[in-house]
Amino acid sequence: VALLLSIASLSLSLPLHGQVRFDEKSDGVAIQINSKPFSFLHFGREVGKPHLHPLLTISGGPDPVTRAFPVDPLPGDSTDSPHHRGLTIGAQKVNGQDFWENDPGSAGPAKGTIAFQELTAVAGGDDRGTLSMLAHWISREGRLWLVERRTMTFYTNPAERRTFDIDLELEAMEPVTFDDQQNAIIGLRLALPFDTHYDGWVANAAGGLNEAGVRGRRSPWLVWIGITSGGQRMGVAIFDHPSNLNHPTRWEVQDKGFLMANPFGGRAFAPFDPTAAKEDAAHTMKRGDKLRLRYRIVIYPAEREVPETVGKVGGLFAQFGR
Amino acid sequence: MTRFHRRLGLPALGPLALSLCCSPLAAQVRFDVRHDSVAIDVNGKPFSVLHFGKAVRMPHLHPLLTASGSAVTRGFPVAPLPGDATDRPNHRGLTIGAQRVKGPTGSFAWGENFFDNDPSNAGPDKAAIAFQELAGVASGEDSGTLSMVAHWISHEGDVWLIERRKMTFHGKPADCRVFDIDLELEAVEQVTFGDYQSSIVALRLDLPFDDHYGGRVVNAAGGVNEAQVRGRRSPWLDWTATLRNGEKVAVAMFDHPANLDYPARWQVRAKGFFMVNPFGRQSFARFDPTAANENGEHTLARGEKLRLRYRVVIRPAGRELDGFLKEFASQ
Repeated sequence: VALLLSIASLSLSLPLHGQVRFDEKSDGVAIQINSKPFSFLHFGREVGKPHLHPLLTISGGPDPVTRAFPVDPLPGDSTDSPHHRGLTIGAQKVNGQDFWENDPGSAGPAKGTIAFQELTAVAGGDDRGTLSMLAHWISREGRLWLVERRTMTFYTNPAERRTFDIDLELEAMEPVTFDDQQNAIIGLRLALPFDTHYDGWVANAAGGLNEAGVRGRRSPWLVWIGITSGGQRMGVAIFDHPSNLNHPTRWEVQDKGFLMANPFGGRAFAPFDPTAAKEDAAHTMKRGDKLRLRYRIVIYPAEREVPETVGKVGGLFAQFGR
Repeated sequence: MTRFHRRLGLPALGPLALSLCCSPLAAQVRFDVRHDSVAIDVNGKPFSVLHFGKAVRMPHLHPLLTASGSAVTRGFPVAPLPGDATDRPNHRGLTIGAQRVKGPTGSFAWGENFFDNDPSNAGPDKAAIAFQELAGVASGEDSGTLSMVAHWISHEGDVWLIERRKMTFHGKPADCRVFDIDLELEAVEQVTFGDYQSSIVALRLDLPFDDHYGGRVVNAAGGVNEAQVRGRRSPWLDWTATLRNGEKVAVAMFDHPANLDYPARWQVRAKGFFMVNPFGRQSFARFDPTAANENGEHTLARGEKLRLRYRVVIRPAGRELDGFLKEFASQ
C-alpha cells in the first residue's frame, strides 16, 4: 500500500512540473507538452514548406484540431487544397511567384519553394520549450530571395490549454515585394468539426461571425470553435501581435475551417470588406531588410456562446499584447 | 472495393464469384436475407443493404453505391470511416421518418419524434419505427422487389401507423443505379403529421457532396445549393460531386406526380442532407416566403391510408434526368 501511495503521489506531482520535450527525427521534430504529444514540425522537404501537423488538444489523443489530410490522410476526410497542412507559413504572391499553393500536386507554373535548412535551437524546458529553424525561400529559378528564421515557443502553462508563439523573421537577400493578396502568411486548416456546416463557427474581436462576418475584416484575433471527435467543444484562437505590420491584420477565412493572418491583405479583401478597397498592403523589402511578425495560437476548452467567447479570447489576447 | 465488401459483410471474392456463376451481361437484382439485414446486389455487384435489426429505430438503406462500387452515402454511423463527419447519428443513408407526429396518446403537445430518434438524442419524445417482417423478397432479371412492414410506435408503446414499404431496384441502365420506394402508411389511430421541416424520405450523402468540398445541388427551377433550394417546391432534387477517387457522380430524388402536395418542398442542408417533404410548408417560410400562408399539416383518420412514391437515381454526372423522370411519372 505504501508503494502504491508513493507511486500515486509521484504521478500526481508530475503535472506540477510541466515540461516541453522535443524529439528530433530525420524528417522533423516531435513536440511533447506535459508528457502528451502535441505536434510535429515537418521539415516538408518534398512538399514545398515546413509545417506543424497535427495540432492536438491537451488530451494528446485522437481528437486533433487540424485536418488529417494530406499529412496523415483518413478515408472519410476532405481532400481539397492539399497545401493546407496543419499550420503553414507562406505567401501566394512574392515577386509574382507562389510560395503558398506550391506543393507538387498544385497547378500553376510560377511556384517557389520554402526549403528547410536547419534547426538552430532545440531547447526543451520546464515552463517552456523553444524550437528555432532556418528556411530559404527559393524562387522558381533557384535564387535565394528570403531567409526565414522561425522561432516557436511552446508553453506548459496553463495546463488546461495549449499555447505557443511563432516569432518569424524574414530577411530579404534580393529585392522582394509581397503583393497585396489574400493568401499570406500564416495559415491554419482545421478539422471537419470546425467547418461551419458541422457545428463549427468562427468569430473576431468585433463579434463578426463566420466567413460572411469576418473574412477580410480587421481584427487583432480570430477564434474558431468546434466540437472535436472527442466530443469536447474546443476553441482555436490566433493572435496578431500589436507590433506586427498592418496590425490589426485582415484575415483570410473560409467557412470550411481555413484561416490566414495576413499582413499583406488590403484591397485584395475589398470583395468582403468595402473599406479595404483603397488600401494597398503590398510590402517591398530592399536587400538586407528584415520583417518581424509574431503570432500566438491558443487551443482551449471553449464556451458555447459568442459573447462569452469574445470576452474570454479578448482577455487571452491582452496577455499576448503586453 | 474491399472496404465496401467489409461493410457489406461479404468475402472479398463474393461479387467475383457471383459474376462467374451468373451471366454478368444480364441485368440482375439479387437479395441475400440475413438475420438483421438484406444485402442488395445489382448486376453482380453490391449496391446497398437494408438494415432492420432490433436496435435500429428507423429501417434504412446503407450504403448506396455507384455502379462502379463507390459510396455516395456518409459512412458514419452505420459503417464509420475515420475522418467522417460525426454529426446527426440519425442520418443513416436513406431513412424514412417524420419529425412530428401527433396521435391520441402522446404526452407532447407538439407530437412525437419519428426522425431524430437516435438513442443519443436527449429529447424525451423519441419514438421508434420498428421493423416487423419482410413481406416480399423477389429477385429478378430486370428488377427486384423488396417489401417490408414496420410499425410506428409512440414512446409510450402504442402502434400509431403501419408502414408498408416496397422497394424496387432496377438493373438498367447498367452504369446507373435506380430504385423506387412505394410507401403506404395506414393509420391505426388517428394521427396528424405536423408541418415541420424533417419529413419523410431522407438521404445523407458523403462529404464530397457538401458545397464546401465541391458538391452542388440543383432543383427543377434552376435553384442552386441550400440558399436557393431549401424549402422550395420542385419535382426533383439533384446533387453532384466528385468523389475522393475522382469519380463524378450525381444523385437525384424524384417526387411522384400523384403524391400529396406535389411538387414537394425539400429540406436541404448544404452538408449533403436532404428530405423530400409532403408535410412541410409554413415551416419553410424562412427560406421561401411563399410558404408562409400554407399549412401542410396532414391528418389520417383511423384506418385511412397514405401512399407516397419516390425514385432515387444514382448516375454518372452529366447524364440527363428526363428519361428517368418520364418513366417514373408514367407508372
